[in-house]
Amino acid sequence: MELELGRIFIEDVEFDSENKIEDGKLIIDKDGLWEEVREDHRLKSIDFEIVRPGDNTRIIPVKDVIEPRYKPEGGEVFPGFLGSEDVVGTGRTVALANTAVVTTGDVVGYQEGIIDMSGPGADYTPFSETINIVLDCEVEDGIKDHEHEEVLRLLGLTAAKYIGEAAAGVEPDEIVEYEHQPLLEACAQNGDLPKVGYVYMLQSQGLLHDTYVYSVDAKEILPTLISPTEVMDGAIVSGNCVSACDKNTTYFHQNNPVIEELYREHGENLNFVGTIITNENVRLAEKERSSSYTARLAERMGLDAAIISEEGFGNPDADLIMNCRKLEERDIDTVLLTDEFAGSDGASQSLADSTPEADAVVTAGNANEVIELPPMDRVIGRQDFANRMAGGFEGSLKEDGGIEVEIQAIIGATNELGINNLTAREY
Amino acid sequence: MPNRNIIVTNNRLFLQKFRDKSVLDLKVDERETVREVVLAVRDSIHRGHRLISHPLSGNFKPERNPLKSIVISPPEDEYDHYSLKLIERTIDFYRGKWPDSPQLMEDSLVRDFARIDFELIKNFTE
Repeated sequence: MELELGRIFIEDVEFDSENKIEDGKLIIDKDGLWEEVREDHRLKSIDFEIVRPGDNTRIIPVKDVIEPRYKPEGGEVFPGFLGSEDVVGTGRTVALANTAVVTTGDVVGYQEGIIDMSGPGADYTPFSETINIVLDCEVEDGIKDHEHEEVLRLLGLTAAKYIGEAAAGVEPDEIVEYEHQPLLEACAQNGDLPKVGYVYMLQSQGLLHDTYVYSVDAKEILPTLISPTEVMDGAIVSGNCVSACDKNTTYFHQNNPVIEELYREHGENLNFVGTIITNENVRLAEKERSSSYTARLAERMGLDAAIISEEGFGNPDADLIMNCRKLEERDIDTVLLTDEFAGSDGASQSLADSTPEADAVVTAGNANEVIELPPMDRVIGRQDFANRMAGGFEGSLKEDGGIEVEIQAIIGATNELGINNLTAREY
Repeated sequence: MPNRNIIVTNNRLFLQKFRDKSVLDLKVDERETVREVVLAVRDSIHRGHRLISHPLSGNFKPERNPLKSIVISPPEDEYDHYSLKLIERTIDFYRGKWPDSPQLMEDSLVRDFARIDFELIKNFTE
């Protein structure tokens, strides 16, 4: 199974009357985009905006971020949601690199996050470095929460697919091949290199806390093997709009840095034999079931070691620790990727659970650190939500438009895939 | 002696929306704070009830969410050590910064929290 992932490096974006790419510039037919998305009659209106790195602009609250993608040989970029139930991860897929579709919309006021395109807050989100096509969306009155979340989710995917079609006929600037061998071949290859797997935990607590695999609600899955190329190719979509700092946007699923890094090391320092996806349900019995089954799969794959990444915090910490302990009990070494809620001074216990076997942990930063964000000339969305967000508090929003808030409120600030740049070093 | 699981909560939506009590009992007091709900569950664990749901919310900043719903089992013969460990960790996680009573918070915000809290726990009734 081989995926050719092509990237077109976009240098600028503008709206015009035709969808195309010319000399590094992405031109989006805005009217055509509106016609495409308005087929969902639950949408009332959308403001389309383009924001660029360095702009004195804040986007708040952010629902999801998605990378525009296109398949020149045919196939689905978000299988199960748009188009047919295609199995992805093979053939050629083209990404419009340096761009992102960003949806905003207030399903509930307290959890979605902030993207600052400049200033101190820009350092805490990777999306200050992408050219963002922002869809500020309102839905029809009377739409319930479930539908509101679904409308925004589908809007983002539809827009990313439509915009991605501008890549038709354009040769990518780079093409990287990712091969995923059958399990037995992968284990037989690479001699004595340690067999390493990736346990990819997906948020699955319920409304606004969900993730979808081929459009299947991750709450309903048993842990399963998935090809890393499927992960890279749109198989996993976010329905999660809580805890901005460590939720995995769809963009992060499409560009999972753990998988990219494992591919770089494959055949050199390790044998990257596969990926297990698992969930983070609320019911304790389901946490036990999923962690036990994950450990069973890891054992059956013959893993020597596994990297485990969490999504979110709070009770998902219990899933992380269960996964760690049960793999270690089977003599599978683990490395955990997580973030911390260690208090504003960083001195409190970071996770809600622990086990002695969790002795190799990489931190993505402390979400309780407080930051002062300056006022911005332009705000897309609802700035008053700052007071309500996770990480915000009464008085977070200053009279001049500045925000005092924990970095918990910034999209991707402590992302547990390591997509951002916070960590801790011991001296 | 009840033989059904029990939702212990200060979320009045459970009273308003939850009609069928054939699978669960409700212990709802909308005047209670999160701290009172958590301590009540802790006391229940000492009396032999076992946790069915994890007592810590996922992804909510703890001191900001005024609502708490926890599902526990009917009392069993012995107390469950793991349940006790989880509830004590939950108490520690709040670090003394318990949320205000929902009755002291802005109504629209409480409604948001109430709807999501209900959504996350209602699966236990299905």
